[in-house]
Amino acid sequence: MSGLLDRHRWAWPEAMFWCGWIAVFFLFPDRLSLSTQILIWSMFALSLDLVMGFCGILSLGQAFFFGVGAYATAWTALLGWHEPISAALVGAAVAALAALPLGLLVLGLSGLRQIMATLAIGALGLEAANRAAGVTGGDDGLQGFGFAPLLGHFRWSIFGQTSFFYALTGFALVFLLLRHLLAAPFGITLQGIRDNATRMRMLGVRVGRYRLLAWTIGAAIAGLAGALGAQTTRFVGLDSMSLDASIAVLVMLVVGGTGRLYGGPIGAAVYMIVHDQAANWNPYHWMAAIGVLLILVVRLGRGGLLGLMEQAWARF
Amino acid sequence: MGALLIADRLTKNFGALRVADQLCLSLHTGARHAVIGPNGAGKTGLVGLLSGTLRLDAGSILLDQRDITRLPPDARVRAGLVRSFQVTNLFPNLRVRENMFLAIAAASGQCGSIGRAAGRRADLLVATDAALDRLKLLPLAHRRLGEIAYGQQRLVELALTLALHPRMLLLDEPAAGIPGNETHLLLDAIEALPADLAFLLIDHDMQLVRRFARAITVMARGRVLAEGAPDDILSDPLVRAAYLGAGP
Repeated sequence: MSGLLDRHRWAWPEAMFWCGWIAVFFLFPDRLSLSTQILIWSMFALSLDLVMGFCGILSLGQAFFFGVGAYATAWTALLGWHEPISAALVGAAVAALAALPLGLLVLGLSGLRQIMATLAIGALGLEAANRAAGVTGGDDGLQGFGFAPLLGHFRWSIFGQTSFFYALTGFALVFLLLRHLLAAPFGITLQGIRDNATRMRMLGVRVGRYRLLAWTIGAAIAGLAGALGAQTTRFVGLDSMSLDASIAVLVMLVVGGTGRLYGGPIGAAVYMIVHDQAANWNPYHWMAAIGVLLILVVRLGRGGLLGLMEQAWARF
Repeated sequence: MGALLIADRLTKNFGALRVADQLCLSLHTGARHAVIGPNGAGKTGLVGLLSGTLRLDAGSILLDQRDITRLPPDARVRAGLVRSFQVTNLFPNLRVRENMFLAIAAASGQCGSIGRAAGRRADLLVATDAALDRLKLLPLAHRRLGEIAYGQQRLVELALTLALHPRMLLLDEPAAGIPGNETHLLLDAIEALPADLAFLLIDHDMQLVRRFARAITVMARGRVLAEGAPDDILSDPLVRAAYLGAGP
């Protein structure tokens, strides 16, 4: 594993990852809808990796921000604003605004109490969304909204090419942004806070401020992922905000490997492909396959699938 | 010279346990002051109170005529009041250079910088290596902190503390746990501290205290038992009876 001060350097396996995504477009033209969902969940997993993997904030309520972003973007269209990129940014901004006060509540806690507080945010948020049927459509969700062609030119075709490239571009931009932030002194500081917050405080660092920043940026990214989900499926349901979604993204991140940027995206891809395949085999028990995978990855070593690949590579 | 640090009637109780009881202390710029006392006298508690990790029940602390009584620990560090830890308290999973980078970034107010990658910040990297070199730690720069010898970790601890440009340094048993053949490195480092830096040395290693202190405060049960020049204190019969025990 390379050091913190080398994070800005590109390694060639990274090129493989991104070329792989371009190849998906040509190799699986009939699976673009699944691929788009993987990209959106990859972005969602990045948001949790920033908060949890890089800054040590334990969150079981990350889907709350995903849902807030999704509803906010749907409403942007329902209120008559159909430009997709700005509407997605509205989703991200609303999620960030929601995160600020909640951060003040959650970030002073640690360990189990922090997990419980974020769990409560998720549960209360879901219940509020359920009750506020006028805003969220309750159980029926929000639908009947649409967006103008992307960049005024690319229509949202039923084959999903536009959605795919839209999600891929959004994911790549978020990835580059995070990669840059985490290689900068800001990212090194977050890692110091994760490893030993007390000592960072005694180095004179305003720990609370940096935690709040990471938490809010993480929420904005989760909100953006939710926004892209709403735009590409033209539907927002309560499940986007559910505890199941919070757990799913956590499982993806742990399977892929926390604190290593590529872990979340790889975990998201594995999770959703296993989900897709196992659902064909048995639509009711696909979670069993995920469960076995999770246990295997956690038992075999730290650092998820990516950690295992690194170990294998080092031995090779 | 005016007083740099004035601690006025510091009081702190944990239930029946008295950590500090109307404790007063005054240090001028460049002071070399030691606090000694038997176990349980409240020496480490005093470090906690001064650095802000323990909250005072009563009393006040002035640093350079500024009231810092209610400042949180991180703000006190930025004001120039820095402590070292008795037990090494660093980032064991990071390399020595990365440990130091965190302190350099903090000291130069660059923690939140998002402009360029840390690995491209020549200014910070040069300062990092210079700070390591000052304590001859450069050969260890690429090693993980957790895998170097404990004595070396203690030196890294001191190097990080010094990198914060303290004006008032709290040294909590700096030599504790360092093997005998490595202590000279630490002693030399303390010897070489800038003349305008004041430090408060908390220790029961009398050799260390004798070597560095120009004034000594003797503590017992959270109170000041005696205060004065080393020769006077160490020959004071009251102090000898209370702390040093009978001796020639």
